[in-house]
Amino acid sequence: MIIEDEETLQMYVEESREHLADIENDILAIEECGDNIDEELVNKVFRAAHSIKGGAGFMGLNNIKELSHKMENVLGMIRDGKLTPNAEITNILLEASDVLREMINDVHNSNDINISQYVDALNTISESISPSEVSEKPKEKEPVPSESKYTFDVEIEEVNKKLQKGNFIYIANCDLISDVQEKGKTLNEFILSIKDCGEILDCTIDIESAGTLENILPENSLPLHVLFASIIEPDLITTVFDIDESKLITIKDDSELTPFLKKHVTPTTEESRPTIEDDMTEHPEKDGKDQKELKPRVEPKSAPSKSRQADSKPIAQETSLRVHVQLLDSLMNLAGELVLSRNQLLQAVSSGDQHQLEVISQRIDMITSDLQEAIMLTRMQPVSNIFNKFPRVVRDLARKLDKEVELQLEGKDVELDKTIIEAISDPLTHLVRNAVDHGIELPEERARAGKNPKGTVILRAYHEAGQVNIEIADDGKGLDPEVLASKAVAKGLITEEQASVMSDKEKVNLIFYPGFSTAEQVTDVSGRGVGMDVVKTNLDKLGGEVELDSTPGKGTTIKIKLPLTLTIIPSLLVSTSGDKYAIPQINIKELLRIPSSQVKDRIEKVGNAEVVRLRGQLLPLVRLADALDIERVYFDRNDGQSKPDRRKSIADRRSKTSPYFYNNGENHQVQIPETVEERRSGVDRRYHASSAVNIVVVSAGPLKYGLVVDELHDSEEIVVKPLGRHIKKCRGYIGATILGDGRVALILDIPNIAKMTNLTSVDASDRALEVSRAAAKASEDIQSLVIFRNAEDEQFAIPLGLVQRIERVKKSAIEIIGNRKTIQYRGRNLPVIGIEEVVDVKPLADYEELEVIVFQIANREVGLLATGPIDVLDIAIEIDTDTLKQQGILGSTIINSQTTLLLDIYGLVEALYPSWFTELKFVEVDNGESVTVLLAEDSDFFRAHVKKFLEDEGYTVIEAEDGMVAWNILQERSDEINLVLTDLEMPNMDGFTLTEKIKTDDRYKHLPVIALTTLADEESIEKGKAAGVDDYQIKLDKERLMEGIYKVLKELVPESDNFSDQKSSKTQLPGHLST
Amino acid sequence: MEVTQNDTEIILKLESDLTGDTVEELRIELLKSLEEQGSRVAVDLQKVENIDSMGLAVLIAAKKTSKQKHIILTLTNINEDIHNLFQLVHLAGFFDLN
Amino acid sequence: MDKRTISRNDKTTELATFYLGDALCGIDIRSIQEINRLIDMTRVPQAPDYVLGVLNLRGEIVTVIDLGKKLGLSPATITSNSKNIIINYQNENVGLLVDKIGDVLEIDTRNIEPAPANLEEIQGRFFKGVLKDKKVLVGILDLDEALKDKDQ
Repeated sequence: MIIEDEETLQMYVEESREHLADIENDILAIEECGDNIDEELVNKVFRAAHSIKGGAGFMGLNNIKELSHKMENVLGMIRDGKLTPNAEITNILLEASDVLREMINDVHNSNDINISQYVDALNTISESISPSEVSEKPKEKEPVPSESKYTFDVEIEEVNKKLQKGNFIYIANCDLISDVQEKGKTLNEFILSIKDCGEILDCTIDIESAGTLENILPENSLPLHVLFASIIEPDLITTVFDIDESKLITIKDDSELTPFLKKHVTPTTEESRPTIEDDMTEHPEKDGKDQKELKPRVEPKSAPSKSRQADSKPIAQETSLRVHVQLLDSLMNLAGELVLSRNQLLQAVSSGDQHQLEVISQRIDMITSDLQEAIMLTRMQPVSNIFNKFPRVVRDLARKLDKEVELQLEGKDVELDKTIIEAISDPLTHLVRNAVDHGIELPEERARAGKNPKGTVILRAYHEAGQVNIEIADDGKGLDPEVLASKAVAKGLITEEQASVMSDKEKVNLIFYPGFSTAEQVTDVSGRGVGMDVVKTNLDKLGGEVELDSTPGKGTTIKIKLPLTLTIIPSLLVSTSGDKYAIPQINIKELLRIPSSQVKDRIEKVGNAEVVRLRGQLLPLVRLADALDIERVYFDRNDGQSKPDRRKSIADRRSKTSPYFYNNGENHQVQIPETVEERRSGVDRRYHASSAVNIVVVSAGPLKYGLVVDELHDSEEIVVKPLGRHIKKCRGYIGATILGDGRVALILDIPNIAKMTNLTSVDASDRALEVSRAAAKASEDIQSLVIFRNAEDEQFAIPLGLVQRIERVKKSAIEIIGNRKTIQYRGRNLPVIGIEEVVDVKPLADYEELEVIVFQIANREVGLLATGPIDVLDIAIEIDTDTLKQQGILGSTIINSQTTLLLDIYGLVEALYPSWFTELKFVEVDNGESVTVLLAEDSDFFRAHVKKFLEDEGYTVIEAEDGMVAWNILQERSDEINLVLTDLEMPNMDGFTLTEKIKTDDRYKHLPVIALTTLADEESIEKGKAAGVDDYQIKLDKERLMEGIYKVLKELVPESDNFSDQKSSKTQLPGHLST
Repeated sequence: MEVTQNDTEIILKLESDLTGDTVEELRIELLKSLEEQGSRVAVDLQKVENIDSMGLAVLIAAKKTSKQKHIILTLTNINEDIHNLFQLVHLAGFFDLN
Repeated sequence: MDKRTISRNDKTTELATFYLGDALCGIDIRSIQEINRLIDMTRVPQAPDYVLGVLNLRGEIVTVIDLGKKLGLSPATITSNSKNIIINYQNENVGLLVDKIGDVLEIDTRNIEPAPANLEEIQGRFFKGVLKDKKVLVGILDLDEALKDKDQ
């Protein structure tokens, strides 16, 4: 009997769904209002039910019609103030709306669903107020004494079948005596006459009403009730078999029949309250169960079982979306524009108008982007779609567990892609139920603990750092980390040792481990324990994260982060080393481009730490190429190729392997060419625009840094696609995208890039910079020293200039291989040494966190283990070289009233890794044997020190205590001298002056001058360069000094064949320099 | 009708259809028979082919009374048609017919 | 090889074969989504060394793995014969770089023997078994084992 027209039917379904969408929350709201009836609200629900009813009748959806009609009745009464919506009534309305929804969603089978209990329940409500009796009432008047009860023993299905076949169902209530006998018929005949026009489904004689033997005659009544089916219509039936119209009841559908069915008990009968357990066990078979068994559940306890059903249903598998009309209008407009542009395009193409083509292509570009965005937006659904079902869930669950819980929802408008919303619905439900079930305590418990007996659960959604966050917070009893930890240990999920090093937060997150459950038995309310790891797995599948934070006694907060897969994010495209990468706009603070001419001013360096000054503050710089460990390249403009870039720092205007060169008074530096041809062509790449430095200033939470990239490209909206399993683990990327040209670009994970290694930089480097700048102004021989400790009470120092970097590491990060220690550093192993391994001092203090001072020695990096506090001081010191001297110690001094040992890092490393050094020596001796160096240094200590390793290398050294002395010696012994090494800060004549003099004197200007310094700041370098210094070296950087000397000397002999004579121990130097 | 009585029960055997006046007769007899507690009464319907509404009413009334008085009232030798009728109106159970 | 009508019964299956170094390996043809030439890939710095890069396969980001390297051989040299076999592994498409594609073989599964300790320098654990086909030994790859992450 359901309408055949599928289309119309579907339309009805859609409309009805709309009506039902808010009904649940509206009913709850009505309950909240209590006596203060919000007429508008009730009307809204009333109208919804009314509309559904109307359409249902037309569509032949009898059950839907019936149920909605009943609901309408009750709602009408509420609206008219005849009924106050209490918990029981609300429950019934809720259940009824659930069933209604079920039927709408399965409209073709809706007529088969047994809705009798809901109808009854609703009837009870509406009739309890009305003056008419409570007993089941047939629609028409019944002549039979109303107290009599008669029931038929018939299957509802049979009746339905008859109805569907077009039959009418009648109940004939006659009195055998008055109606039949009196009319001269026998019972038999009467029955036969009914059989003639239809089929008797059942009939029954009302035995009770029959009189007794004594009074039978006077009574003269024997009621007979016949239930039969006939195709003859009600108008005609009475003529067919002789019966009074008033004695005939027409039954239109099975719900009307229910009062007459056997075993029916009137609604007013008090039934024993079903317990929760009963509900639970009955629940699974409830629908479609034995049709004859009808127990109208008026009791409130029936609600929970229904609610379980409600939220275990998936969100109606909708294949349609609700889209804002405005959005649709935009889409229409855009489509229109696209059509226009297309027409224009066709025209322009045929006319060959180049200019026009350009204009049009721009337009189409814009329109396409807008179109893309609009379409994507249609998929974005507000999270309220899933949030909206939670008030009900919480309410029902709380009632079932006798708890009082209030649910607060925040951020309902936060939008997520449809598929993500569908996927998180289940995990969220689980977590919310958990919060109510296991989080919030019973009211008595809460009161005892001084809390408000009513617990609160907050469900909050918000955007942060380009991700969607959903939090579920409760103020319940929280989780005890110890209990969780011991449970995990007991279950063999972790070991005792592991448990002992875990923080509380880590312990509490153990709950996500598979196989975990602290509930003694898993309650089937939320299936907790069994569920938590499933929640995590589900979220992992989506690429999301979940984290738990809890305070015993106070509450628990669960935070879910969802990635932006399937989402479009605005981003900036950049490239480094030839590859393009995308940086999410949300992380970008600003873009900085430093023209090559300003690079050396703005970018400063301390050891290897590069920073840029940005409006008075120092911003640490990270080179993307370094962070990702790619080979740095530069783009050589001459041959249009990318080549490896060996510059050590951005501001490094010299390559590691070559000294400064002059260019005839031109005040800029020239790169030392790698090849002879390049040198002759005078190429200078540093001052091209492409040598400018591009910095993207990014932030990741509180951390801000500058990411140095090769090139900046456009801003683009990109679709984030997930990376495969093999790459997912790479930190550094949050996904990938496909660019316009079809190529893949990786999307950078800005927070992780900052944390790429598990070391974090110490602030000392910042301070060091400040300090060294200040110190440059001083005229005394100030040393920049790094002060640190090994054992807690022993202080050490090392020149700052030698230090590459200072990092902080966890004690546990140190790995021991053989008897050597290493740590993971930038993807490689960094050997680390402890002072006590060589020097007779107390061992390293046993702290959780240690410092590692990184040096570069013998072309390798090595770290020195130390403990804080680390300080950088610029002080003039007196070095005592006698006492406390041993290998690895240069001397001692007093700093801050404490004896401080000055470390010889070379000595230390040499003692532990002698093999590193033998190679080096080998190379040097060959060429340095008879070279004489003039060393100008006022500090005895340093002079002696440098002299020592010069002599170790086979050079001959002539010492001078200051510039003046050096100048004099030079004049006397210039023919001996091959090279001048000079300190800068010296009395009488400083190094700058000395250099100037040498370089401006024809006799000596050929001499290479290497300046020794304790500082490495640009100002000094500038000054030195101005004076004519060829190279700078750190005083105690033995290696580099040696290298520097070597290279400088080599430069004097450009023709290679002189060097081919390796056997001779003498270097063939140009005539005037050889001895 | 024939009324017989032996040690165990009283038998009321009808000689014709249970219609019209016969009904009244039966009623009176039944009234008499259903006096003693614990007794047994049987109504032999062998010769009965038709029962009219009154007759049915009487039988029903009698059965009710017998139940109240803890007397066993049975209907015996019922023919098929009557049996079917009783079944149709759910009286078969009421009268304890096999 | 021109395909004759293959009678499919329980005992036979078709194997797609390819070379990894000197080893001739085979996988069930039904595991294969498609076989492509190598196209431009985007490298992924910091990825495990056997990951060559990622590419765009009709909108999906597919990871391409140097299968030889993953199985312990030295890194592949890319030649004109190198091909990218796209398979479906744990719900995602993964590309396997192989040195050269061999024939499709119809094999009788009853002839499969247990794998030796290693086959041309690839450890035996990566194979489900071996088969002799015209005097050549074909190692039938266990893709799960081969593509498993060390940490899994």
